[in-house]
Amino acid sequence: MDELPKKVDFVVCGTGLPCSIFAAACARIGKSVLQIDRNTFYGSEWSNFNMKEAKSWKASCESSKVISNLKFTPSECWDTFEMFLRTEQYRFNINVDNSPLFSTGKMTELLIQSKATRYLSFKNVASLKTVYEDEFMSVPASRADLFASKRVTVIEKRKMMNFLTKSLQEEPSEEISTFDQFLERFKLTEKLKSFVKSSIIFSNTEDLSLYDGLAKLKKFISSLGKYSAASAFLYASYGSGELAQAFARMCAVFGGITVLEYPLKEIFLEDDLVTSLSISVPESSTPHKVRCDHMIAEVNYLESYHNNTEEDFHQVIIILTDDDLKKIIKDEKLALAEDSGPEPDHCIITAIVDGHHIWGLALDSSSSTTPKGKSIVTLRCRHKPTLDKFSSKFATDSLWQMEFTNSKVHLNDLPANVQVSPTVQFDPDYDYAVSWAENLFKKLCPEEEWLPPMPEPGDIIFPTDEEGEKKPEDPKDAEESKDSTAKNTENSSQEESANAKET
Amino acid sequence: MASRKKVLLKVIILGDSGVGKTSLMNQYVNKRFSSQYKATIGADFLTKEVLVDDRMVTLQIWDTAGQERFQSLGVAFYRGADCCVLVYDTTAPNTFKSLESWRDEFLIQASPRDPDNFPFVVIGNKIDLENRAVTPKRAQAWCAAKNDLPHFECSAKEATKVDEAFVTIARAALQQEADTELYKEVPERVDLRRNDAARSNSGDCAC
Repeated sequence: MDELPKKVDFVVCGTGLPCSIFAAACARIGKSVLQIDRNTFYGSEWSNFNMKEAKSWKASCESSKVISNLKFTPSECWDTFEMFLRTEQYRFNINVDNSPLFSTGKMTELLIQSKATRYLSFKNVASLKTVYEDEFMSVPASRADLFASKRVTVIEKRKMMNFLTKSLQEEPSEEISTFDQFLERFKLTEKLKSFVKSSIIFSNTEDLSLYDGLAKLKKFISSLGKYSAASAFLYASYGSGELAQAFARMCAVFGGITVLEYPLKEIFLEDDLVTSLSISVPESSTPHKVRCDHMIAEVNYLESYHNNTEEDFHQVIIILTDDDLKKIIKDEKLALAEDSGPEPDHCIITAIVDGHHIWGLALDSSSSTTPKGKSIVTLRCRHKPTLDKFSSKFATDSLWQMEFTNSKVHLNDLPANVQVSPTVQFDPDYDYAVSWAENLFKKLCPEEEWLPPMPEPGDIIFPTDEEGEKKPEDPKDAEESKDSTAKNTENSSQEESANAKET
Repeated sequence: MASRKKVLLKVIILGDSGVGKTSLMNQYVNKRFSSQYKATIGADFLTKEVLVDDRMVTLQIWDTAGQERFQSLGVAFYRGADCCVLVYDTTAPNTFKSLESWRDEFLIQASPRDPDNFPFVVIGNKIDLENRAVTPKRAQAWCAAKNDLPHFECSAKEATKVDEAFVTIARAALQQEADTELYKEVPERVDLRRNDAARSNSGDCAC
């Protein structure tokens, strides 16, 4: 086996989404990166796994400070997996932190900008449903949904339309400081207000500031219609656990090294700076020591700095059922839906129950996360008893369930060249992960370009001995030769003769 | 006939590091060979349009990007593969022995619908070198035992049999794609790039 590097610019501990974005950005500009993970899988708390891997996920959680109260029902659920065909077991992709992406959100923009989209495929989230007074209903967020809906009155339709088209043009008034006060101006009914809070701004916080509320509203409205007239959201096939792997791939393409199942053993300090790290090597008694300029780590790699864990940051429940989603979500048939063919079943589900906001995803096989005829429902809420009660309506034909608490961990002062990545957040999408990685990158690599477009695959020149340190082709050149195919372009054949070495 | 949609076939190349995976795909697609070994950096995937039995298909050939060196190929790499190429070095018996575990790894990670009939193509590379250590007989016996896998002995350096191997790969991938087409249960994908291109054309891209 090849040797691990003895000195790198960055050691990144953990392959969760924020760390993987950061590692890719550094490798992309030619920094040396070693990314390690104590687990056998990519993604940390953002990972996805099939049924066979559920056991190793469980083992990993036992030493996690971020995920706690992990419970499977039935408790030895892997035994029940035998009831599935062998090939079916692998067709489940259980995404621990499953989230849709806003079509114009930071993550979507980054994937497009960096061209990491080549490693992923996306679908529109077919619909947005909310549970209002114990009934499922489609959220009339788009013009078409609004007119098709039978659950809102004509007056409500007019008010909602008015809100969706006018709210962002309103002059902010000085007397108004919260989003609730702002909503009052549109004289929305309780039902419409609930729609807006649960499913458009995804927040039921009473004192949500006007600024934050409008930012959320703007994000939703600008996303609506970007790729689909009826949907503001995209969904990554196989689940959002794929995102971390896309960035890990990009990191590898640009020379970064990732190793799985290599736990961090020891941190060596000198004058409050990390100088090197010792990493356990599987099937070897000798750990590997690597010197580094910076250490970037997830919370679970900084155990000696843990202070306290915030309780009940948010609760997640994942339910796998034997049913079609149609049987679980009994919604009105939208009048327009019949003309546009069979309606896909996967959707975002939201609710406000006893003042607590709940949201999640209900997915069928069109998401590539379940085999045909099975469904996966993921729900989250900041209040466990509310979530327990609410989730029971999805659990009638439950094959198994998994639930856990995602907590925030506070750390003591870290050495100056150590940075900690954020933990999973409650809100949908990954703005927080992108912002963190981008800000850190700009701080540690000032003047460098943040995830510029990857060159087209055919334009990448393979380095030779003479140019071992040669960085991949300048993306600007690649842009210019955009029209060239993977086949011999003038550009690459020139490079070829430059690279060729007589043997 | 005319309405036949464009076919994109995903081919992934597996094998121990140093067997010449990148060289093979580079020779096939770019007609280039670099004799220096360098752990793969920058190789992502290469595409080539080929005619298979009167049908134009686009082969998208995926490299391991060096992630095989420390066994860190994630499951996402394997998803949706239509054919898997297993490569060994005819001068290094260990790399031939590894084929068994690469094949198993592929079947677990990619979870094809019909694992027994999933198309693998086996390539023994570097036959231009003198010190051959894996005999054709031994390689063929293994391929025969695995449901008659096609086997080619190639030289990426001298371009020996590389094209022939990839013709077989393309045909096998197309056949596989046609088989799985029947099970299609996935709605249309969203093309983020198309939208991106449309925006850059309109001139309001961030510069």
